[in-house]
Amino acid sequence: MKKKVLAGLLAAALSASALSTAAFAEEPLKMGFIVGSFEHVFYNLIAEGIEEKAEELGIEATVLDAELDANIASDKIQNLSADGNVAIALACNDAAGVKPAIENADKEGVKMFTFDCTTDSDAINCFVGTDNYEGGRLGGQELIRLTEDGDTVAIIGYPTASSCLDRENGALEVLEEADRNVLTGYNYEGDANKAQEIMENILTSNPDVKAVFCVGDPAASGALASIKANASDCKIIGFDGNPEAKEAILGENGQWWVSEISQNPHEIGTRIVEEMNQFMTDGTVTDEVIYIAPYIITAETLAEEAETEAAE
Amino acid sequence: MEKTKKWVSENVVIVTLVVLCILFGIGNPVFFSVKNILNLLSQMCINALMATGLVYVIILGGIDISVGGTAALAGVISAYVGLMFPNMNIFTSIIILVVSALAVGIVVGFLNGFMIAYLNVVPMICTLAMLNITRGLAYVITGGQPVYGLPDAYAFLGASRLIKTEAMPNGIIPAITIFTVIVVALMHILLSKTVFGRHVYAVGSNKSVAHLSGINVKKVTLTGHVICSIMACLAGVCAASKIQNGQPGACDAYEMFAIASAVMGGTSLVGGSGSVGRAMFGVAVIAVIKNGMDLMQISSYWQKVVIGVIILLAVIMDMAQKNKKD
Amino acid sequence: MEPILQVKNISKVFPGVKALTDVSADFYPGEVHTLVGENGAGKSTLIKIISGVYTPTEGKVILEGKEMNFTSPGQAIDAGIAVIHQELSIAKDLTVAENIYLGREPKKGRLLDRKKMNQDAQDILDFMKVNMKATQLAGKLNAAQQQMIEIAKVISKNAKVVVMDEPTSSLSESEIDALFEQVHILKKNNVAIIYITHRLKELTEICERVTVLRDGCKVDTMMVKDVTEKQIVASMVGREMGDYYNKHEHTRGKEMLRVENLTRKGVFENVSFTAYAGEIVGFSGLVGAGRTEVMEAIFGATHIDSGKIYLEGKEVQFKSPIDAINAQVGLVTEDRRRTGLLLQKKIKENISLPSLPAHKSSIGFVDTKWETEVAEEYMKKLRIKAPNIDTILSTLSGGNQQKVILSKWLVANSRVLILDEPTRGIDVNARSEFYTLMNDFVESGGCIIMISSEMPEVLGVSDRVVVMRGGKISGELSREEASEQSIMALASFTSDAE
Repeated sequence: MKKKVLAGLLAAALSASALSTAAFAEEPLKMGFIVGSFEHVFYNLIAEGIEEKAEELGIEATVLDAELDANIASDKIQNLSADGNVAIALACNDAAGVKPAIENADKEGVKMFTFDCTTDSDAINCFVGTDNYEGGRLGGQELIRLTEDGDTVAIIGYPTASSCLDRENGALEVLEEADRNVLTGYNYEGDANKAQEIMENILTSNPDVKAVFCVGDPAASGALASIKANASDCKIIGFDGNPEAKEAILGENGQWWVSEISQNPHEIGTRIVEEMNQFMTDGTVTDEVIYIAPYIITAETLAEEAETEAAE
Repeated sequence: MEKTKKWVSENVVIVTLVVLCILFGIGNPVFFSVKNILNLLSQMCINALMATGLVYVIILGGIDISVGGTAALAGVISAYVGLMFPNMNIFTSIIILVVSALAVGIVVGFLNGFMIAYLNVVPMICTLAMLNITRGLAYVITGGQPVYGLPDAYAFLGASRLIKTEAMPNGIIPAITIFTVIVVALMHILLSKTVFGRHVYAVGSNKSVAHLSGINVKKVTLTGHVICSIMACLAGVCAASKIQNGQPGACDAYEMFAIASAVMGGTSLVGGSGSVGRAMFGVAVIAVIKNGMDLMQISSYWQKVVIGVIILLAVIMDMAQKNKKD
Repeated sequence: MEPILQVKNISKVFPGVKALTDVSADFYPGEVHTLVGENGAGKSTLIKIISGVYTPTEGKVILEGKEMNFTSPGQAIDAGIAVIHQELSIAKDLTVAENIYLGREPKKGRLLDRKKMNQDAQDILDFMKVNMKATQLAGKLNAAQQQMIEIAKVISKNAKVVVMDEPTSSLSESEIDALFEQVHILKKNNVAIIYITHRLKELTEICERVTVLRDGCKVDTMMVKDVTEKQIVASMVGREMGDYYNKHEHTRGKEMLRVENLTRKGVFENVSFTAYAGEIVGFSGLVGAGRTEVMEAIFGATHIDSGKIYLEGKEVQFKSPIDAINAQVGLVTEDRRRTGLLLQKKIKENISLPSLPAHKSSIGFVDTKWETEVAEEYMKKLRIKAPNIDTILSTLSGGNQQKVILSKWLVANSRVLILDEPTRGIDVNARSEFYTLMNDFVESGGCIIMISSEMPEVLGVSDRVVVMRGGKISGELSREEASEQSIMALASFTSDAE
């Protein structure tokens, strides 16, 4: 099923080029997209959203992978520009690194957009992304909801990634007001095994920890393994909203992994395409910065969702 | 006095380990708690397995930087195999993990070894390419998503602890530690006691001499790389079992820790000398730094700095010792 | 005539060892002054003191009447003392001129003045009357030509004293002649040359004065014209040497190794010979005649294009050294440091290496009991001088290293031993012992094929001499027929040879 994503992309690219060579009466708009990395579920879901919307609006979309590298991203901006794309949207995982390439493309007349993470430049017409800081606040609220005054809580962070740093800071802001002992300063570097070790060490130095907010789903997987092995009843709040989180919350792991702050990557994908389309048609965007609100997933929300789906 | 000095200079890594333990013990008394010691013993296992394999190829005068990717590939494959056996028990789960590791390890190690020994590809380049291939394959077959939904038995090897008592209801001895000790001990004996082990040292010391002394240099080199990849894959399946899912991004950059451990334990990068047993002290040093600093809540940024500095110091002191000998 | 360099009452103590005791010597301009002595006699320590590598514990180094206190080799170089080491320090990817002026390149402003450098270098080469271009790549030159670069360096530095540490050890006879020509040129320019060699016959060719060292003490300084080689040897070893080569009469046994029409294109061609049990067959010829290549091919280390090898009358095919070792053939290579020994490993590990597979337990363990026993046995039998069987090879002298290699093949039950330059770089006493060991081996039914570039050794040791030239066997001489003249006639290219 995972292969399908890549295969689908390939097929889409092939059919798109087939269409363009066929030279129908009306040339479809050509737009380019660069996601952070196809190695992340999150970006694959954004890509799905992009392709779905593009097909619906009759846009010829090319989706490329920046491999989380500003140099690669810059090269791909150039390639897309040379290939005749009228608008390009990308995720600026290294904000400073891609700025020159964005501004160059803008000077060449290509309309520039960003999603997921952006950079500070006038060339950018519109940004669509998750409000990570808000997401962090939701995480902090969940930490408070799940614990009592005087309890110890922990945050497993990834401060070298700016979106994850926002999440950690958002949570800390909420926690500042509450009477909680907060353990922080950990970096799991996107490595689930590292998160497992960090959680093990937290449980050893602070066995009374009641809940942990993990700024990404791999951290939650790692923390879960430690908490289970230690038979602790520490609760987990994840972040991302990946399928594995939903399954964990609904399954037997739901006694630990109780809550998830979910982004809406599909929505980010569809929304950026809509904004680009609108801009190319009448030169306006809804807003320069559009936040797709993160939301909380728990066993209850999932049950409701299932019910509504069943009703439909 | 003279003797003590000599011992210290020849065993820098052990001294470093003891000093670090004392410092962390003072910093947070929890460090010396039974629970934390047991945590440490389980936290060093993945690196221990990887470093053991690297000792072989480094003694052979080569290097293998593909181990991180190879481990991830083995991890996700073992997770897929695990999904096919939802009713696995503890025993079958270990078989699933070990067989997956052997299968991936033999294939990857054979490719590495064949290119290095028979096609004379430079080990650094060959294994760099292999790192990309294995890591890439791990992402391709998973589509970037972790493989989840594995039965609890799958986590037995990586996460469970044996001998449950009233005081420690979750068990005392980590299963992964027992597994690692057995595997590492066997690999230590293979290297230090057998004719094959001698041949590894001979090839690493001087290929021409080994060839002219009737050693099949190519075969020994190939075998060394197969061993290294198998060890990396065992590390990878342990990592997957530990968190009960297969992450395509697992063990990223672990090769650097494994190489550093081997070198800190006295394995010479020019080949010909080293020992699996001593490399374990290097493994312990790295694990202690990470664990101790987490316990003291020292910022993770500093962990990187400290690990780097300790590796440099250990290697510099080791070189100073070697220069004195010459 | 005033000495240009004097060492006075030099002593050097290392922790636990007194390397030199009260050594004094004078070195005169325009003279070659040779230091001889067995390995460990103190020659290297003395030249290291002269060249500033070591500081003496007691005593003085006096250059042109002034006392010198060198604390680094750089100071000695600046004072005009140059050293040509046994192992050449040539940067292979640089040109001849760049090598000569390495680190002292002439500059124009801040840039390299390549034109001047090439011109100056060419002037020196022309002065030396060597046929080399300053702009050639050094790596393309042979060992002898590379040595010429070292000498050119010395000349370019205007050195007053030149130390040459065994400069001829890796050269062939004709290359040595070319080197000696340069020594004569240096002499004419009033340079004092301090020369170290193990080849005593070189003394009479180029040397005026000889100082004999033994156990860190000076035995005597003599004028070469007043003494015989035998007297020098006697003062080196502290006793009168009998027959230096210990030549025995051997009785030829059955046929051991027969080679027929062995050919590898472009390297050697139609090589045929037979070696019998109970004899030492000498292989003589110029360096590059293909002797080493033939032996490596017989041993299975390199391939052959055609030809047949018979062992005790039966045809054998050695696809790799493993096959040769299993058939009880051993090869002692020319360059023991590069291809003979595991220098960083223990004596016992070196001795047991080829025989390990034959002595492993059923699950592949090394039989350490056997290994220890056999290493101790051979250490005693071959009188290897070392603290114990766990001693690291690199700490042994050349002679003892060579004995370890010999032990290795004796332990592997070799019946045919191929020895390639077996005594290169080994001192007189150790050589003599080594020849005895060779005799013992053939007398117990073994067969030795010995390649040697040293004429006296070939003549003194061999029962029969095979001569090679340009990849072909040019002749075979019985013991009676063999002489320097008859061998050279077969070895060198004369007008009617090609």
